[in-house]
Amino acid sequence: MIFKKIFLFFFFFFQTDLFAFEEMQINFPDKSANEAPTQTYYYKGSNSKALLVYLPGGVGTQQLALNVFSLPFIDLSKKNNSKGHYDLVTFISAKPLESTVLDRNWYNATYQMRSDKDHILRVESVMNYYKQKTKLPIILFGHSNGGMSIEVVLNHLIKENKINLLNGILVSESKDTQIDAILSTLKKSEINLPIILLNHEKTRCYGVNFAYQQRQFEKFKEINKAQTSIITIQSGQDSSNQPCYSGYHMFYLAHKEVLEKVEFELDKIKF
Amino acid sequence: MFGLFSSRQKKIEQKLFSLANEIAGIQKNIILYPKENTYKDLHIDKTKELNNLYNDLEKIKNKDYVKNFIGQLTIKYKASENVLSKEEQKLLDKLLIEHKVKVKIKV
Repeated sequence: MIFKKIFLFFFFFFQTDLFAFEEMQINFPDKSANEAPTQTYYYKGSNSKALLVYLPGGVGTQQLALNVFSLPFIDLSKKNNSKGHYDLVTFISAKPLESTVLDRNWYNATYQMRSDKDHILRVESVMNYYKQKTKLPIILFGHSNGGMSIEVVLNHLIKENKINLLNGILVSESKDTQIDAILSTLKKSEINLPIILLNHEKTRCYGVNFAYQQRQFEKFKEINKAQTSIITIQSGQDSSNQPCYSGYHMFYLAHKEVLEKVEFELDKIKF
Repeated sequence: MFGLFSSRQKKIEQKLFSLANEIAGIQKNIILYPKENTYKDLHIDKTKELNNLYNDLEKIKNKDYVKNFIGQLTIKYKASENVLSKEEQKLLDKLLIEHKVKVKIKV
């Protein structure tokens, strides 16, 4: 019996990483709609400065949210790999958020799915829940198609006069159209939100033009009164698979560089 | 017929070059983040893939050819930025064995 206890102690002691997150189900805001709750994974930092709400790209569901890509961002909450000063919440969509038909209409169809009122309300409810739980400033982090979600949620929050819920944006490897739309909204509304652009210099994903986005951000930097940062990832490895699901676009094997640069730029933001 | 074989051989060799490079990158990440099991699992999967490709190449060519090819890969690896020191290599072996025991994979 005692050996069993000792074994269990060592087992749990060395497996602490397995228990480093909380799985939380957030109720859909309209209870009468009889919708499934939104699944989230919460990684708590120590003495956290802010909370990142991660909106995954692709279809926005579990497989994409919890793969190698997310590791450096999860590490922002872990004291052994970083300062651990940021909480992270991974948003798992209850419905697919990407068109499966890769044709001319792919963009419009995917954008429509990401603009769905249900999706916007789910993101808002997750932000509300974690704002109350952690009392931390919230940074929306959208990767790839997640940039579409940022755009629509940003517009929604401005329209509903709830922009105080949002304290910053981190957008990575999103399409040029999304970057233009986000920057245009921020310019028009004169909100002056801190914003970070994170791209790989060798990205091969369609619609993500590294040089173009750098230029747009450099221009925006001159007018935004809040912190505006551009992060360029140079390390990692390419893949022969679809360039919008693998390799440089997913910062594959660029863990250290992504973690260090993102933490450095986040630390510059004054909340 | 021979053209078909040589193009298949070329494809396998190209795959092996990129896979070996990928595994070297994964190894570096295991050393940097020793508690992260995702990289260890990835290493196991990619190594299996690599071994299958070596077997395929051996079927087309022969044992000596594969041995020479591995020699070429080793030279490339030693010149790459992902090369591990002797101490790191020892640590990597230890971490992978411990992980394989944990997930009950025969070493």
